[in-house]
Amino acid sequence: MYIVRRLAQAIPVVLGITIVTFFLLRLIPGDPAMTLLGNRGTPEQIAALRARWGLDEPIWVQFWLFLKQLAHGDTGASLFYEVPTRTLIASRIGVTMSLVAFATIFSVLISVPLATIAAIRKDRPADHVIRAVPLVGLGMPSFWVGLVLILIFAVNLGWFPVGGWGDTIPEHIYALILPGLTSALAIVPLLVRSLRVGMLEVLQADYIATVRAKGLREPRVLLVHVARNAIIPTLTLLGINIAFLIGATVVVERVFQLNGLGTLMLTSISNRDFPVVQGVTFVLALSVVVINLATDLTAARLDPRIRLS
Amino acid sequence: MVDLVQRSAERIVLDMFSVGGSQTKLGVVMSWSQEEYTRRDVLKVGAAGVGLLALGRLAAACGGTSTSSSASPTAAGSPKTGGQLIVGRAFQPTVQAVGLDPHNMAVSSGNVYTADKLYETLYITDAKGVLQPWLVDSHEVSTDGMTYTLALKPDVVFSDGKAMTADDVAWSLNRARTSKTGSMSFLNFAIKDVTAVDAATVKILLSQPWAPLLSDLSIYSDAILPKDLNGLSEKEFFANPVGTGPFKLKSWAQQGAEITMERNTNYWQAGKPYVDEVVFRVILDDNQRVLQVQSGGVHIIDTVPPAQVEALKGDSKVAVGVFPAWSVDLVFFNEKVKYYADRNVRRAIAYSIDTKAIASATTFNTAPAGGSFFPPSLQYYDANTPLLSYDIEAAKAELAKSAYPNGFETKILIPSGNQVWLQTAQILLDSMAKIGIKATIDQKDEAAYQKDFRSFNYDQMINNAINDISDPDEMAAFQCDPKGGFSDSFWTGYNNPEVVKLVREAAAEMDSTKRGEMYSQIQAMVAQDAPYVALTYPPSIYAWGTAVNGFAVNPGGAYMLESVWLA
Repeated sequence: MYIVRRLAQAIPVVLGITIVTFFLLRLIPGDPAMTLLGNRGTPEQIAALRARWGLDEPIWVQFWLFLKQLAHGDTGASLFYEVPTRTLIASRIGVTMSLVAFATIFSVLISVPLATIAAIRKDRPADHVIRAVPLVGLGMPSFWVGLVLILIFAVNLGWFPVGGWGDTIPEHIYALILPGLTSALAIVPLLVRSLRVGMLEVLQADYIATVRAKGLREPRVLLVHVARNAIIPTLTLLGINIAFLIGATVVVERVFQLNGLGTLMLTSISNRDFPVVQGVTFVLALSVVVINLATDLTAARLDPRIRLS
Repeated sequence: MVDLVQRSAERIVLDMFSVGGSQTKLGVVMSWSQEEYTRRDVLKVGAAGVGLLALGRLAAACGGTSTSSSASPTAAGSPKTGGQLIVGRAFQPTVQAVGLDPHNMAVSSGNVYTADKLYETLYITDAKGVLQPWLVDSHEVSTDGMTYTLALKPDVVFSDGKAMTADDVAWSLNRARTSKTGSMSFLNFAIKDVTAVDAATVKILLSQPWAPLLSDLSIYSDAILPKDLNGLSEKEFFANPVGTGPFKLKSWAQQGAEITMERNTNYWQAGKPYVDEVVFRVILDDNQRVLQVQSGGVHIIDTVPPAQVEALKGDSKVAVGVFPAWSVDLVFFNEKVKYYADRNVRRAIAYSIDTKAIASATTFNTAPAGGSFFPPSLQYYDANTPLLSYDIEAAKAELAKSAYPNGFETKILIPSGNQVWLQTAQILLDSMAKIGIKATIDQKDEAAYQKDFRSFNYDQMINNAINDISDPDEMAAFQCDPKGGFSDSFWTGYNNPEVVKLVREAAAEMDSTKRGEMYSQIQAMVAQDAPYVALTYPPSIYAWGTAVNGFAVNPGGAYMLESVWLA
């Protein structure tokens, strides 16, 4: 029931974003037909192409058509490629979602151990290093981090491909390691700090003193009692940051030559391929909503004190 | 060596800022998550500079492992057959496989340099820029210059095994010249009809004597297809196209992001092509493209950023080719704006521009400095064209003679994301400031830029002019004759009746010495009128792994792959 209500609440949000995108796209200057035909396109050709794409119709007619298509679950055919936006998105969403998944896994794998060490060694050198070094990462944009990683691990050491996606599943996994790491590094500093603070709070709690007094061994104290309680604020933060990661893929995909939604989005915006931009925006907005919901559900599962209502 | 590497690292940073730049635009139309990213990104940009030194050192480490000599563009030895050639390109075709119709498609690098591997033209331009008969043995011109008779090569075969006949040629050229959606059909306006005399002879009837005809026939959009598309519908035919080219379409993945072509086993040149397959892979990011060729992931890349040429030359595993092109970067003046209707203002600005400084600062000396509006590689280019060369005193004197002796405020329109033009615009700004013209830079993204200059909504702009064929008439007509193209003299409104008359006469003049004199005169008059000023002649820059042999690019920017082989 709760899930249904949350999803219902998301409908106006996603719809609103899509409609705002529709009008914003048409407000910014630039014409898809001119862009497609380039310097050599004659005015007649431009007019013919606009007519073929229905761009010569008044904007409310276009909007009505758009709403009708949306009701059928599509935002129309791509102007440049003349295939349904759905098809375009379907062929590329796998890349982007795998990238986001990798980034999420990496960020957890990196931040949980680091935060644990920092919390145990509070105010000692290890703690200072763990808190300070990732901040440098926070100060560097993803495209920069990506390039540095490519130079070190792909060009100099030759451990990973410079870019691309590969043909088989093992190749895909291999290809996603550097881009996944690049995206993860952007949010690791935030996660480490939040998780460390959470752990410190829990470490000082009375029930930890109790379990210690019971004679539980330290690893078990940390893993079962501390981590589980400290992870909830971090999880919420992670949820918000996955949304950020989805946005960041736009840049990371380009740097690593991955043909995902981000690359599609960039080219479609510069081409003014309206239906595709609308379609991708719709999908991204929807995934942000779904991830937020999933985060809340998981948090409730981990901590029965959280009531979903 | 090291400072070159560091300079290239610096350029990588600049390139990356341009990625960030397009991200900023994204923020406007995107959901909140992207917008947040943009704000953060802006904060991060300052910090990126700190990392510059680190990358410079890294790049130096890469360069250190290689020897300083670069491989020669064309290696000796006898060609080997076989292998898969991977070409990384900066441009994605804008047509689906069903739309790869040479007579009807938009002119874009992604489209043209895909189609020209499948279909061929009667004439081609070789790597030196010289027109060569290709599917034709010989030609004859009637004494009045109105009829051309072409003898076709006898053994040309389509990829489906059928012989190419005069019927196919006549049908193709007639389809091309009557096409309403072909962007280059204007080149064929002088053709009245094309008929087959016998199986191996074609007659082209003209409506007026037309010197550029054979050059016009070398344009990709005059490609030869089987008559009536073998009886298939356009959709059916272009999904599985048949041509006389060295390759056949094998697969078309992700809207052209990866195109695979296989050897045409019926190719009319015995033993060619040498490679079994060619893969065209779209790699949008400049740095990624360069790194891919360095790491051996792709064999050949196009559009190498000028800033990275020196660094690449230091890599022994990679060869760099800087091919002169019929391409000119110019600053254009909109004569519909009162200041630029004044010839003295235009001349004053022309005098204020130091094209040599621009060429060396912005293109790292890969492009020659501008002079005539014809590029040096183009037929009838005149190196002795009287120019308004850099001279601040002369510039001040010209401005004093104009209606605006005290200067004025103006804007330079450029597309965003183009680092070379941004730097050029900054230099222009300084030059004009010296004579009292206060300019600002107006950066718009490509689509908005196109819209602005096409509606004459600009003061000055930087743009690129190209000639697609070996004959200069295309460029002359498009840039000087308001009715010669559709662009009103490249969207400047420039109209000098004397120049217009000469342009039209030169196209009809069959004596090449006289034509040369006419084009010299045209170049001189345009240089003195200064409707635009040529800044640089940007070359086509490619890089390829040392396994690649026989690769060359013609001045039109096209490259043939039938003679390329992998060691």
